[in-house]
Formats: sequence, structure tokens, C-alpha cells
Amino acid sequence: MKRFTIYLFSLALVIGLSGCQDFLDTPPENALLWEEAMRTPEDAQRLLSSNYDVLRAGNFYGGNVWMLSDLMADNMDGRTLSGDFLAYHTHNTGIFISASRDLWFQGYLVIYRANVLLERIDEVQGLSDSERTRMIAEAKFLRAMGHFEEIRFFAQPYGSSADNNHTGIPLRVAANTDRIPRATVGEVYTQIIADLQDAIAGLPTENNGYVTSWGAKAYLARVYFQMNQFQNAFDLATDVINNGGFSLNPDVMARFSANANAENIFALISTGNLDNSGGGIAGHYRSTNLTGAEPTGKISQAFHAIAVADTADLRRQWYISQDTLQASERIYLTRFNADFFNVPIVHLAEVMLIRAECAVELGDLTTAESDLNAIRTRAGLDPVNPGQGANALRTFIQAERRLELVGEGNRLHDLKRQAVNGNPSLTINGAPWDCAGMVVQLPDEEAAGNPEIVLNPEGNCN
Amino acid sequence: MRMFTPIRFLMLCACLLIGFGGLYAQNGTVSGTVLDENGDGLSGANVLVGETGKGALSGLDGSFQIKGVPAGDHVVTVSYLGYNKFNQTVTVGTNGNATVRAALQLEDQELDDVLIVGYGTQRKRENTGSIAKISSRELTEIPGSSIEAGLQGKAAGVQVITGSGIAGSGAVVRVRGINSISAGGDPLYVVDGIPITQSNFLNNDRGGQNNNPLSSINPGDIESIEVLKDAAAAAIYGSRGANGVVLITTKRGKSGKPQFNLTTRVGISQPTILQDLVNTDEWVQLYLEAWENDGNTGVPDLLPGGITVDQALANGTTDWQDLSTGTGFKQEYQLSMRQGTEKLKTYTAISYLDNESYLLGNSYRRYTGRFNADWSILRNLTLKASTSLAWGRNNKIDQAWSGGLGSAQSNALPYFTQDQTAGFSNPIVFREHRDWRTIETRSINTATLEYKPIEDLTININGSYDFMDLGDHFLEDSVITNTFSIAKNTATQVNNWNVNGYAQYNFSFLPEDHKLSLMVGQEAQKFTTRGSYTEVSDVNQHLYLDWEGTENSDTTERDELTQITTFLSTFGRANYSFRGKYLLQASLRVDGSSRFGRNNRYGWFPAVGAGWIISDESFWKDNISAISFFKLKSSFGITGNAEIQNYLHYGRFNGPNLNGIVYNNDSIAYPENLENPDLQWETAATFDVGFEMGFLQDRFTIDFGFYNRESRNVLLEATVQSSTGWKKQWTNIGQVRNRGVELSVKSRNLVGGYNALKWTTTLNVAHNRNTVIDVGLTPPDALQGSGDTRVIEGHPIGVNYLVRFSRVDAQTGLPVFLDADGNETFEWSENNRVIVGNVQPWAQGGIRNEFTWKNWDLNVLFNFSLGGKIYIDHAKRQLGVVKDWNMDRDIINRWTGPGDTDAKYPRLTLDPTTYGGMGSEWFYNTTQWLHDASFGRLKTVTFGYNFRFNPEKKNVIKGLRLYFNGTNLLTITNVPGIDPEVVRDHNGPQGRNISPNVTYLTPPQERIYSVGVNVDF
Repeated sequence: MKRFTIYLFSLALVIGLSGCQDFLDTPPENALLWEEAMRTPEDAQRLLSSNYDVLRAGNFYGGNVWMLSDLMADNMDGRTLSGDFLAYHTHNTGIFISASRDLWFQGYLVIYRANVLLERIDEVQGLSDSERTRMIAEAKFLRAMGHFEEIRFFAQPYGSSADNNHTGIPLRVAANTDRIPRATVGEVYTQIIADLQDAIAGLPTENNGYVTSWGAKAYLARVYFQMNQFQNAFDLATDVINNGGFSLNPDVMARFSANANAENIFALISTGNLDNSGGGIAGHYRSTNLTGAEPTGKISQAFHAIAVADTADLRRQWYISQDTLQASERIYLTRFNADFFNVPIVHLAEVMLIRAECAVELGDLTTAESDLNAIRTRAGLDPVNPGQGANALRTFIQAERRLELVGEGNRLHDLKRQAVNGNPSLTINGAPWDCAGMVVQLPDEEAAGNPEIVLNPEGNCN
Repeated sequence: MRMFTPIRFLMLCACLLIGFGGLYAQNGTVSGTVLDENGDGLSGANVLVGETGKGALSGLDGSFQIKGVPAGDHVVTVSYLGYNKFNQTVTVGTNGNATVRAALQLEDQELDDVLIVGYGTQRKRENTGSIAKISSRELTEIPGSSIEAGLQGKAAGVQVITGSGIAGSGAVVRVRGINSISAGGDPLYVVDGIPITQSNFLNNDRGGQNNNPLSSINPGDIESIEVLKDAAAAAIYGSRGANGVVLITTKRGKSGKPQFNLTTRVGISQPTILQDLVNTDEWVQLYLEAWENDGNTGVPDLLPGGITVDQALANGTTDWQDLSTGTGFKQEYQLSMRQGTEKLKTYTAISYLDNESYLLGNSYRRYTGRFNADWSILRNLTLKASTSLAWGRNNKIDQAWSGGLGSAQSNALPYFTQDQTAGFSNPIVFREHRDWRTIETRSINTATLEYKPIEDLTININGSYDFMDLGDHFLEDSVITNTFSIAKNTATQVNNWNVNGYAQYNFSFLPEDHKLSLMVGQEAQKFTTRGSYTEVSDVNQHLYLDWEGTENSDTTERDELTQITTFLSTFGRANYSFRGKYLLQASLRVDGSSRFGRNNRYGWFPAVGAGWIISDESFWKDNISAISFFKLKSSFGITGNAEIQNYLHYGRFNGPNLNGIVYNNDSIAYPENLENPDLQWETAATFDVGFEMGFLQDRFTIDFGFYNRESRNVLLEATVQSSTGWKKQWTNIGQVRNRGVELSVKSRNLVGGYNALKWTTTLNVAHNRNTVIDVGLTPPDALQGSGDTRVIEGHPIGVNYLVRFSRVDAQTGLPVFLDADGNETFEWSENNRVIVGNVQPWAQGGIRNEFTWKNWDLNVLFNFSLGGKIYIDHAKRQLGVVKDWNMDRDIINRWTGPGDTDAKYPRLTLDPTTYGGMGSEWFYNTTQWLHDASFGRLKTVTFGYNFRFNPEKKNVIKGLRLYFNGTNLLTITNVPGIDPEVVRDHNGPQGRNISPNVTYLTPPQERIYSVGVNVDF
């Protein structure tokens, strides 16, 4: 027995595994551990840059944010759609739409990462005050942008209830995994405005291709405009137009190019095929190889007829048609026919159109007319006849807006905004603007994580 | 039989010296030969002469000589593992000799089998656990398959769903039901003592196929497989034993002259079933009918794919299924040699396999080599080495709808011609313009030092190394990419080291009635997984070959997270028996693992088992002679499951060197995992009770068991609100129960000599009932599988959660659904989903009949699975809204007009909203596509002829066998249109657990006819 014990002991020695806590403690190699991930200014910048990589994803701002909202509006041809795209087009989104899962998640991923940066920026060593201010401001811009893009899809528009007490989306201002309910639309917009105002205050006017204070001002102008708060939108737009140093591109094709251009106020950057923000958009619309897979994004004949009605309009080259004027006609956009291009999130043409419409509402018809004419002239059209009344001018501006921003994801939100602003009987593709299906249903992934979450009503748009 | 022990030896010597000293000089010699079942010399057999303590090992030719045997009568005992013990009484005269010819017989009694039990062996008779053993012959029945497929239908409670018809694909093995939800549910595979690299997800599910880590192990090299099912057996593997343990033992050398064995087999493969799809005329007719039903007139301008009706009809029908399938040719060859001297025994084998499936372009080719050696360095010191090298290449084609047969059955419409590349729907284009291969190099090696310093103590020290290099090589040309060719290389390397040592001691000095042995050991294991990804555009060749092209701005190169998994364990086992009929076993393992959080790093896994061989009691022996063996056994123990991804408990960011992503030419980093220091293994508490019976000298044996297994702390990858910026979070909150019975019966119906017909029937059947007891406060959609399967409390894992389809309205032709309360409604809503079934069978098993007559033998295996549901996920498109998919011919049973009262399918439409306002044709998940999954299958039939050679003559050929094998010859099922046995790809273990019986254009099983020749020389 004694010998046995000796053998056993020597065995343990041979293997020599005692006290091997280290053997079990194997932190991952070439990954960043949580506590070590926010030490240097470079760490913080990488986290911030990662947010733009989320924005540019094909299932978010690099593609679907525009595509899905346009499919829900009245510019598109839905005849050959199927799957998720058809569900958006017919206003029948359910909880299992994978495009909705991504649309929802990517926006909140931007919000989450912005919150992580805001909560952990104090850990960063060696960060100058100006850089710290810039990063906080940039994170708040991104958080606001995430909330704004989500709420436009997943809730009835601002102004559709008296106090904006109607159901909005979860408001996430902390980086955690808590179960929270949906805030009201009013609460969410209040946070968006506060974040954007902080962003404007803290952002520089130049930022190496990232968002600047001009970008934040232009974006806040869009937010106010969406809220029909015309004076606020007008003031910000005026600031951008007068002081931002941006100018309209002479060429109507230049907006979607790989190079920085004078018109873009804030754009997602593309430097090559592997650093590409426009891949998703090009994937939906690109019409250079029509013998291969057919593009998903096709323009309806009805809208195409409007768009090409004026033969002087240089923007006619944005369209290409097959089987022209036959029942089987298919119309594609050519604006996105490039290997890679920058994706403008806000550009001067939109800001001018915002200001023009705000000016009409505020009674400043001179400014409205001049902004409108700037856009028209660039497109090769004659200025409108002077002395138009407010209503006529508004109609001109809204029509111009529809033409100028085609494919850029504005149309659905424009129509809803117009409906809220005194057009309660407005319809979109024949359906009431506020029917249940006009709001995208929350994805199952959100609902499954919180049994108490309120889902949107569905359908009723037929 | 008393054992030779030092103490006994000393006592004996003392007696001899004192009592019989005077006779000491009058000694004789016992000599003789030990022969094996073939009449060849068997070396290394232990020969003992009665109580004298004298003994010897037989030599190379089986001969032995024992000198100095006192005169008188002695019982000579010859023993050798795997053979029945041989006894013969001899008389040794003074200075005389006695000779013995010991012709050993192979152990044929089931209940006296030797079992590999993990860190040792045990006689089946003495085992208290639940262990199923599968022999090498059974494993190699099905041509071209990997080892786990060979387990099907052969062991009660071991459910094997054979991989689909894709060459190189793997099976899903579940021991006693599904215990795990989000963590891996496969059993632990141990090859010659080392838990091997066994992840199915090293290649994710690229191309609709999971990687099969067992495919590179050659079944021909395997001696036996033991499946440890209960806690008493599996708890010795602690935190990795909860889903059962599969112990694989490879063949080893045998004493004697070199014995060569050559096996060859060739065969052909066909799909068991192909779908009955419509042709162009029918399809166009369906489309036009839908067009008119939707209120349109005339004909549509364009059909899907952008051609007109006239063009489509002019194109005629292309049978894409026919163009995607053919007859696969299979061949396999193995040459092995077993030989041995007293000092050195070796097993050497090489093999080649080329396994084409019926899917054109899909094949698996493998070369293997193995060398196993047992070297007796000293009388009490043996080195056992096993080494294997395998190289496997899987030529892949895309499955499901992105190419391959799946496309042929879905979006490759019959009116397209072979050269039309429009869209992503032409499987021929994908087959010809995409070259995809997975190449695996694998080497599993073990060295064991077995040291017996004293008779009763054995010390084993093992070092093992399992190396896997997996390269997924992808090359597609400009026809597919529209721009330039793209080559992708996903490389994965897993290094798996294992060191263990254990000592076993027999307490032989105890009084005669008591037998006690003790084993203690320690083990350390480390897996290191490295990976990289490279993508280069505009090249002419795979990146692992000599390619020409330029690295340009479109070259991506990044490393994957290097992952290290460690286990550190201490374990022990004690076996005690009293008078050989009261058996007790206890074991304990303490496991630490790098996979668990700081706060829960070590787990304790104890187990106890007890058995009572009632038939050894005198009251039994004297009265119930018909029942020759009767053992009651019971066990209880705790096992664990650690099969989760590495590093889940570390909070971490994904850094720039991993993602390689830039934005605006700046690198990026982002949070990838939240810290979870409490994360731990799942535990399963298993209680077993059962009995083993043998009737009429074991001509008829029964093994019956009941078990109850409660899994707690079940790992859930539960959904969190995705608005948090996360989608899932790992928690240990689930609780699952599996309760079931298992029955194995073996009956030698007819026995007799060479000229008589022999007939043996074995049956195994198992029933398991699975219940999810707790998954926390999660709504049904929080734990999803494929094809609308869910995990819901109070129900089995993997319930089908669907809208109920009620009928077709005779007047309108619209589908009528049931709402959640069971009332009929025309409205489509996902809120109307209810639990309508589950994917787990009620019972499954196999029946084998073996017949032997003279030189002929016939072996028939029939498998069955009863109950459970199968969900045909693709049927919603083949029998639903007419869009851009081909249709199943069963659509002829659609509604055709008002008053059509017996329509099976609603009126045709092009618009999903017609069906109650459904948003998309993809949502049409209803009970219409859910079917009873029961099937019975004639799995294999083998018919063989064995040539007999006279062993006395010096023939070169010593044995020759010719045989024919048919696999999947006949299937009895109510499942329409598809093969009921399905393993589809999944992107993680949760899908593999929850959705084993959901099919989505999954290629059917193969029907194989093969012939083989085995030659011994």
C-alpha cells in the first residue's frame, strides 16, 4: 500500500499539473479585452469609425434605408418584386422580415456603440480636450441619427397625434442590455434634437471626412423639417447655405461619385471596393449589365412619365428604359452605376429644397423661389415664372423635390410629413398615409427579447 | 479462479518450503502450444500451472514450456483477452513431462464481453453502467460513410440521422434524446484515449454543408466503438459527458506471422427519391391561371426571369434535376497487415476511398495511413503507439437554392435553357464556373506507456496529439461574378494536445470474496484553433495552388481569432464486487475549463453504480435454470456539457487585426462580446435502472433500461431586445428532462454446425420523452430553430410552431386558417401560430437478422423511427404562391373554381396578399407542410460467400470473401415527395438541436449498390 502511494505520488509529479490556474486562464489572442479596449485616442477613434462602417452597410444606409422607404412610397415599380421587398411595397410587413431585422438592428448598433463611447471616453489616456469634445459630439450625432432613421420607419410620423404621445421606439441612451419599453414619439424627438444640438456645438467644421458641424446642422434641419417646425429648419438651412461653403455641382450626375464634391455636406466615404459605402445601393439599382440579374429597384411608369416630361431636364439621363412604353416596360436608374461612390447623407440640394419649402410656409416667397430656381437651373430647366402664389410655389417645390431626390429614400417620409401638415386625406399608392401597414412592423428579434414590447398593428392598407 | 498475486505467491512459497521441501527436487516440465481460433499459434497468452504459481507467456509460435513443476496433478489454465479461458488437468510425473494443446475459442458469450470504459477496460458482466458496443464489421457495412453513420440502428438509445446524400457530409448523433438547446448536443468522441477535435462548425455552413470532423477517420481501422450512455459510464468524462461518450478503439497488432488483409469495394449511388416537378407547359399554365385568378386579363408581358410566354413555351422543358444528378461511382480499397512477436506487435494499414455522390460535381476522396505498435520494452513495461494520417478532399457544390440540386428544385425554372445564366438560378453554370473544395489533413497520434511495477498496479501515461488542417478553397470565374474571377481561402488549423496519466490498483490481498480496484488519474488538454481568410481577385487558380495574378487593392487578408481551449481534470474510479455478484462502482471527476467564467471555473462530476447478479445466487441457480444470467443494475451521476464557443465569458472587442475592415482608410474596432464571469457548464443528473438477462446459456439475451435525466443550467443563447445593440446573450437558465426506456434483445434463433442454417436476430428500440421544464421568461420566438421550430416550456425541444391550415374555401378558393383559439379565419397572422407537433421521434431503433448457411451469409438491417413530425420548409414555395420557383406536381389538386369542395391547395395567385393579407410568399408556414415523420427503412442488406481454405495446406490465400451490399433499398413512409431522413446544414449547434427534422431542399439520401472482395493472406 505504501508503494502504491509512492507510485501515485510520482505519477502526479510526472504529469505535474498542480497549480495550473494559468493553464485555464487563456484570454483570447489578438483580440482586445473589454477592459483594455479603450485606452488610447486611437482606440476611441476606431470605435467611432466602426459606427460609420455600420451606417454604410447594405442593409442600412448603404442600401436599404433608401430602398425600403422608396418601395413603400409611389416612385417604384413593384411588379416583379418578391419576398421582403414585396412585403414593404404592399405595406404588409410582419415580424419575420429579415430586412426589418437588419434595418432595426443596424440603427441601434450605431446607437449602442455611440453610448459605449460616451460612457467610456474618460478611460482614454492622452486625449486632448478638443478631441474629447469632438468625439463626444460625434457620438451624439450618431446616436441621434440612429434614433431618427429608426423612428421614421417604425412609428407613425411626428405630428400624427396631438401631443406626439403615440408609440415611438425604445430610447437608448445607455449601453446596457436592459429590457425597456417603447418611448413616445415626442420623447424620442426631444432626445434627437438635444443630441444634435450638442453635436453642433462640439463638432469642428472640418473632420477628415467624418461628420462636421455643418453636417449636424443640415441633419437637424432635416429633423425639424420632418417635424414641420419650419422656422427652426429654415434658420439652420440658411446657416448651412450661407456659411457652409458648399455649392451645387454643375453636373447633375456628380452627386454619386467617388470623389468629394462641393455639394455633399456629410457623406459616407468610399475609397475602393473594400472601403465602399455605396455597394448596397449599386446592388439594388445598378443598370449597367441588364443581361445578368435584373436590378431590384425599378421606377414606375407613372413616375417616369412625370420625370421625363420636360425634355430640357438634364435629369432625364438618370433613367434608362427597356421595352419603352410597352406594358412590359422596365425603367431603371442610372445614378448609381459606378463601382463605388460616396453616399451623401445630406447634401446642399436637399438643404435648399428644405429651405425653399420652409420659406413658403413662413411667407418668404422670394427665398423660396430663388432656392427652387437654383435647383431647376442646374437641371437645365427654366426658372419658374416669377410671382407664383404660395400654394403654387409649394407645389413646384414638392414636385422638384420628388425629382431631384429620386432614389434617395425621402419620398415616403415627405408624403407623411405633408399629410400631417394639413393633408389628412393623402394616400400613398392608393392607401391612406396613416394605415397600419404604412409603419414597418418591429422584427421578432426585438419582441422576443421583451415579452412586454408593444408591436405595431399590421395591414389595413389595401 | 484465483489470481496470481505476490502475497499468495509468498504464502505459497512458504508452504512449499516448509511442507514440501523434501519433494522440491522432484520436478517435471509442462509444455505445449496455444492456438487461436484459426489454429495458428497465439503468442503472449498467459499459461499458469494450478497452484504452483508457475507460469509463462506463450512464444511467437504459441509454444510454451514451464519447468520445475512438482510432480502430481495440476490444472493448466490458459488465458488471453478476448478468448474463453482454457483449463486442462495434466499429470506430471517425477522428472516427467506433460504436454498441453490449448486451442482457444473466441469469447462468444455476449455477457462476458470486454468493454472499453474510458481509462481502462471492464468485463461486461461486471459493469454497472449502460454501454453499447458496436463491432468493426457493423461499422463498415455502408460504403463511403464516416464512422458515426455506422452506428445507426445498432445501439438502443443512440439516435443517428444519416447525413444527406452529399458526399463527405456527417450524421447527427444524439444519445438518449436532446439535452442541450444552444450548446452542442453531440456526444464526445474519443479516439484511442484522446477527445478529438469534433466541431461541425469549423467551416460554418458554407455552401449549405457543415464540416464533418469524423470524415477523415477511416472506419476500416476501427476495432470497436463503445457508446457510454448513462452517468455511471460517462461521468468519468465529467464536464464533457452529458451527451454521451463515443469511445473509438483502433485495431492493433496481433502475435504471429504477418497477416495481410485486402478489402476492396466498388459501388454506385443514386438518389432515393427525386421531386416530381412540373414541366414548362404545366408551369406556364399554372402561372396564367394565377394571373387570371388575380383579376388580370390576357397574358402577362413577362414571366419571372424576364422572358415572354411565347419564348418560354418555345424553349421547351429543361429537367434541371436530371441535369444535376447522375450515378455516383464509389470505390474503396484498404490493405492492412497485422503481425507480432513477443516484443513487438504492429498493425499497419493504408486505404483509399473515392466516393462520388449522385450529385454531379460532388465527391469525397480520402487517403489514410495508420501504424499502431505495441512494444514490450520490458516484461512489465509496454509502449503503445498509434499514429494515423489522413488526407481528404471534398469537391463541393452549393446546396439549397444557390446552385446544385436545390436550385434545380426551386428557382431554376423549367423554361430556362441550359445556357441561360440570368439570375442566380442555373445550377449548371454554378457547377461549371465555381470550383469549390475543402481539403483536410488530419493526424491523430497517441503514445501510451504502460508500466506494471508490481503485479497489481498498472500505471498508464499517455500523450496524444490531434492535428487538423482544414482548407476551404473557393474559386469562381467571371461568368458568375460579372467582373473578374475571385479566389477565397478559409484556412483553419486545430492543434489538440492531451496528456493524461492514471494508475490502477487491484487490492488482491483482500479476503477471497472481495474484489476491489481503484483508478486515479489526471488529464490536461489544450485545443488551439487558428484561422485566416484570404480573398484575391483576378487570379487563375486556387490560392493554395500556384496561382497567377496580382495582389491588388481588392486583396483581403485577415487572421481569425486564435482560440485556445483548455481542460484540466482529476478523476478516479473504484470498482468493488463481493463474491462476484454484488457490484459497486463509484467515480468522480473534477474538471476545470477555460470556457467557463472566472466565478465558475471548476465542476465536480460524481457517479455511483450498483449491480446484483441474481443468477449467481444459489436459490436462483438451483431453481431457475432456464435463465442463465440475470443482473440488476442501477446508477446515478452528474455529467456536464462544455460544448460552447470559446471566450464567451470574456468581454472583448473585435480589433483591427481581426476584422481587417477600414472605413475611410481608418481601421475600426467594436464590442464583440459582453463579459459573463458566471457562465458555466450544463449539468445533467441521470438516474438509471435496468437489467440484463440471458436465457438458455445466453442464447437469448435481453438488456433493458429506464433512465431519467434532468439537465440543469442549460446553456441558452437567449434573445435580448435587439435595440440593445446585441441580439443574443448566453445564460445558464434552462432545464430539460429526458426520460426513456431502452431495450436490446439478441436471439440466436437457430444454432448449429457448418451444415445447419444459423439465424440470429438482434433488436434494439428506444423510447425517449423530452420535456423543456424551464427556459426563463422568454417568448416562443426567443429560441428559434430553422423552419419555425421553437423551444417552449412544457413541450419537447423543437416544437413546430405554425399557423394551422384548416381547408380551402369551396366558394372563393381562399385558404382558411385557424386562429389561436381554433376558430376559422381567412386572415393571415403570425399571432395565430400554435404548437402543432415536435420533431423528436416517439421511438426509434433497428432490427438485424443474420443468416449463415455453409459458406453463405446474409445480413439484413432494418431501421425505423416512429412518431415525431417533419417539416418540409420548401413546400410553401413549391405548392404556394406562384412566383419564381418551380412547382410540385401535386399542385394539380388545387382549387379550380367555385364549388370545388375537395381542393387540397387554395386557388393559385401571384400575389401573397391574396392569402389573407400575407406579406410575402416566404411567410406561408402552415401545418400543410408538416407531416408524420415515421419511417421504416431497409438500411442495408449484405449477401456474402466465404471461400474455405484448408489451414493445414500452405495456401497463399487464407481467406476470401465476396459480397454484395445494398443500402437504403426500401423506405416505408407517409412523408410525401422527399426522403424522410434528413440532416440539413445549420450555422450553429442550436439549429442542430432544435431543427433536426426540418428540410429545405436538402438532397435526399443515397441508394447504394456495391460489391466487395476481402482477401486474407
